[in-house]
Amino acid sequence: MSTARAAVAASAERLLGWLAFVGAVAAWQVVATMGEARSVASFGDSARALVDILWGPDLADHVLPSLGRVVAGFGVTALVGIGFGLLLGTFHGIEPWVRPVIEFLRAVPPPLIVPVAMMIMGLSGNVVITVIVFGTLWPVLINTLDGASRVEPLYLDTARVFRSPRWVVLRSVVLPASLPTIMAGLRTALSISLIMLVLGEMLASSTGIGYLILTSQQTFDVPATYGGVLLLGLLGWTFDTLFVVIERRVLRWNSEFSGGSDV
Amino acid sequence: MAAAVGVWELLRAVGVFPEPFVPSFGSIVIAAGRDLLNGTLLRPLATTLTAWSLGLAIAAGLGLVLGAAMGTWWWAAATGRILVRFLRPVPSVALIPVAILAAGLGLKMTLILVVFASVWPILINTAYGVREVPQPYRDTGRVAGLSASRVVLRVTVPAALPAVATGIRVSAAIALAVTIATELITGTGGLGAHIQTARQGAQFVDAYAGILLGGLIGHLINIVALGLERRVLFWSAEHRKQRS
Repeated sequence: MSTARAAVAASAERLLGWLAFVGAVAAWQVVATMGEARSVASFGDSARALVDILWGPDLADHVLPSLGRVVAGFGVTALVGIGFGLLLGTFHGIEPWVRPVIEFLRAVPPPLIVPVAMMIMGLSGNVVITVIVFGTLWPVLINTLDGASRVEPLYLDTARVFRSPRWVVLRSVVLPASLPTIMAGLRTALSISLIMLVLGEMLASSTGIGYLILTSQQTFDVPATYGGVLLLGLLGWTFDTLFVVIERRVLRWNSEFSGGSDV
Repeated sequence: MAAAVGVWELLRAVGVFPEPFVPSFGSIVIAAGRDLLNGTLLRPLATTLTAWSLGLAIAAGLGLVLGAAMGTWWWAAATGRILVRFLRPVPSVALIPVAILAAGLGLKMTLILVVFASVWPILINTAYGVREVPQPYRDTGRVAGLSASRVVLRVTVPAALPAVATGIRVSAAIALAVTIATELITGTGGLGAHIQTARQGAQFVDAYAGILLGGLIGHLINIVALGLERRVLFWSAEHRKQRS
């Protein structure tokens, strides 16, 4: 009885949510048709422009390079952030020296990394991947460090009793125990990585989705601008959804984990 | 901190950093001090902080009202949830071209972007904070003879405040980042535009001075926000101790 009522309530909630979504799209369409074509593209035109981007030369010229940069940048961040974080978290001697520096670097607004990278690297190296890495590294590093330094002492003592070598302890005790905080840091890093990608491509690249939407705006190709933004929104949504799915799998064994839900 | 400066100078000495593009730390600090005193950095700083504070204030107002609604009524939560799911993942800087098209270059454009980017943490944390206020707290307030509006003011608001404070701290950092990003790309005044102009004019020391100042401002905002949050969290931590 009560489960049936709960199911009805849940579907009512879902229906209302999708109604709101459809309503928002409809409102967009109305605003676009009433407003000036110079400033707002309708949902239909934007969606068509999005399809054109994905089924034209832009896919190879701009979309794929962007995807490659995010994967490379996020991959480097994950490796370096988790690796260094675990090391710093287990060697308690270094941590007090490094933490203030990391905390300071994390508080620096990430967009400021772009001009620094441009001055140091010129346009020669891959500025975009660099700014993604330096924009996303700190949350992963801090979260790994926090997770690794707060591992239940009992686990570590047990490993010591079994005389496990240090790297085995790192891999089989410290890493799994700090995984929930690491995943939280990675999720933050993933959303920052998309922002740094777009920013880097707008300022220091002649390829990529960021470059594409900025030049579309400058040439007053309004539908293409909106189409590109739609694509980036879709990418952000896909990345986050995929991440939550992976997070649930990775952390399924953890009884304290209740699922990466928001709102 | 001193060690980090040491690493910077070491990398310079070894020659990893090419000389004209990477000035010494000392010269950057001197340039920052000089430009602050003669006003060339002061005006951009004021522009940036104006856009930041206005944007954050609007985001806070919107986030608090919408978040409180989502935390109180199930239909508001249901309506908002899907929209948040779709709107929040849009990378804010991707909207810069759209904001230029919609509002033209200027403060209005920057504000649209700052509000869009920084409203989510406040909204989500407020919704969460309000929803998680235990019903017995509110019932106690009613039993004690408080009117419904008094219960909101005296019970719900204080109980939700720690979550809200955390949201505002996160949003403050995001708002500053988006303000500077917008200035870097559109060149419409502020620290970001100042840095870009200096860099393009090969005034690298001045560019670094601006970057250093931006970093310090980011740090300062973080420290102040953390301090405020701790003051608000103080009693909630006490509550937690009593409960467990």
